[in-house]
Amino acid sequence: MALLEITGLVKKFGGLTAVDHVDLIAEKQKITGLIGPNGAGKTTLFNMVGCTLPVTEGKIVFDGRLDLTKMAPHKLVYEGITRTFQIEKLFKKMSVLENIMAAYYPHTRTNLASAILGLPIVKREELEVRAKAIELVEEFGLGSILNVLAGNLSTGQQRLVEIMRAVAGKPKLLMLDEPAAGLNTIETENLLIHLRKLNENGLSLLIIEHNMKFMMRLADYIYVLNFGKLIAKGNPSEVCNDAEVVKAYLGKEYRHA
Amino acid sequence: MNKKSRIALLILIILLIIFNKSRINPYYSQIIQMIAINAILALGLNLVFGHTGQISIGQAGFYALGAYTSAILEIKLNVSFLIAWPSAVILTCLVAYAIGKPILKLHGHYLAMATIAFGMIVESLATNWLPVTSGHDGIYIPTREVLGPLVAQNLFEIVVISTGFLYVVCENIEYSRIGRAIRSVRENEIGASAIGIEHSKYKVMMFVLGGGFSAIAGIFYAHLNTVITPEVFNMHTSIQILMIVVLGGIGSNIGVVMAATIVTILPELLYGFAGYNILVYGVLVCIVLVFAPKGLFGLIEYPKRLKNKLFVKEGGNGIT
Repeated sequence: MALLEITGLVKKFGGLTAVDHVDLIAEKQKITGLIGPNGAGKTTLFNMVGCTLPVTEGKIVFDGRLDLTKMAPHKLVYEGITRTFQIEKLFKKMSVLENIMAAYYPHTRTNLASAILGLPIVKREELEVRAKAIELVEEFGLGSILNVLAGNLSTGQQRLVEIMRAVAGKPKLLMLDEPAAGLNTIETENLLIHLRKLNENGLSLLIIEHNMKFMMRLADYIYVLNFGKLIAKGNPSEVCNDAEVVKAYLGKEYRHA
Repeated sequence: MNKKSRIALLILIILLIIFNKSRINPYYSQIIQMIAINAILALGLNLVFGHTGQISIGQAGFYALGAYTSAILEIKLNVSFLIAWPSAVILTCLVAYAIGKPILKLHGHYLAMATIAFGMIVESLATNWLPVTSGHDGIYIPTREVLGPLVAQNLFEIVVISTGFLYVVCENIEYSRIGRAIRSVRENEIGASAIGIEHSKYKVMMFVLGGGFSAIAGIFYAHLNTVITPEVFNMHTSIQILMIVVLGGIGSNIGVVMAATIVTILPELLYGFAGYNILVYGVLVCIVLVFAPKGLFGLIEYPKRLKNKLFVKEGGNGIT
């Protein structure tokens, strides 16, 4: 079943067509990949789905009912979509724990008045959120860095924190923009394990990635973009052997992989 | 806010009240009141600048609005202070909302400029709208007659207790969902909206709250000083409020209160330097900023960090 359905999506920046009539479907509880060379329009597409960029033309439908083309970005999480960014947008001067606690925002209810008065409900909610956040961080095996400022972490850890922050919003669809960029082999392995586990727990994933090996091992279905156009789609082995994909993106040696 | 600091605050307030009641030195009582007023102003700006990361150099504008509105209502329209005070706060909040909604879309220097402009507009209104504000002659507020003897006699207690209450409010906000939301906005607006936080809403909310704090400070100032003139609410005051926040360690409530204390007492101590007090003052601020870049709050934390450095516990600080 399609969770996210993109039809005829177009984005023009003046004379440049960054995304050109792209159709894409992210299935429920599957891992959908989006690959392509630099400048192919992957992140542009992502930003349109993430509602941070207005759509020129086309439709983005989530969960079969919700039109995402005219939503405010902060409302997405309430509908069940969270995302990470190519360049991490962490709260760098807040601790890891606080970063994650902040992400429980949509699922907590304290308003300004009750916060000002320091009502008992606020305290209870605070403890609840703290416990949940600690549990999540420990699930990701980062219990030792709970109280470190996010800005002091390594790139790999920052990526994981951002993914945790996105997971904390309890999404149905998690969108990751180049989660493995800048990670070393061990960190990439680690990320792979975590993402698979999330998927097994019923989360659908939409991932942009440059690391082909990573994608081959992770994705159920892959879309390939080049110069804003969709040039191929299929399961990883199909895409790998597609002549146009090899020419545009992978290079000859990949054919045998 | 934990129990210990609540009790500490309560004891401090009681001590101050006893000190005032024993009438040792009215001059000291007056300084304590000025500290309280500056602390309220700075706590308000701390919500806007320290926690939400939105600079404002126009807090004196709200300060003036609070002072003038309450004074005008009481003196010129003969309204009871029970109605005048809340009206002054509400009016200031409404103005803050009307101003904040459009200008908080700006960032950094542009926002600073816009808030400076707001402060200047209010100041020139106070100077030039003669029929209402009496301009440079100022408005005289016979506190005893306006408030009645009972309230007027206990004004010190009202000011000190209110300051304590507002401090608790700030602490409560800081350690709640709202506090985390506004800090997220300060750290990264796009990141904040990705986790469902509407940043424009929180920026305006804190701006309004900060305006309300300033208005309360303005009301107290007007009734303690008994005369208000436009010069009190000029840009110098706005900058001084900003300086208190910076000096206290941006985002720390206790640091801000400490800084308010120092900034209020220092000019009194430097009275002997006559014209040079500004110079000494400036140098002191520079020294604090160079040696304690996190402000006074950073200094409080210093022994803790030193201890961490000397006795590294496993997983204690975690930075490897």
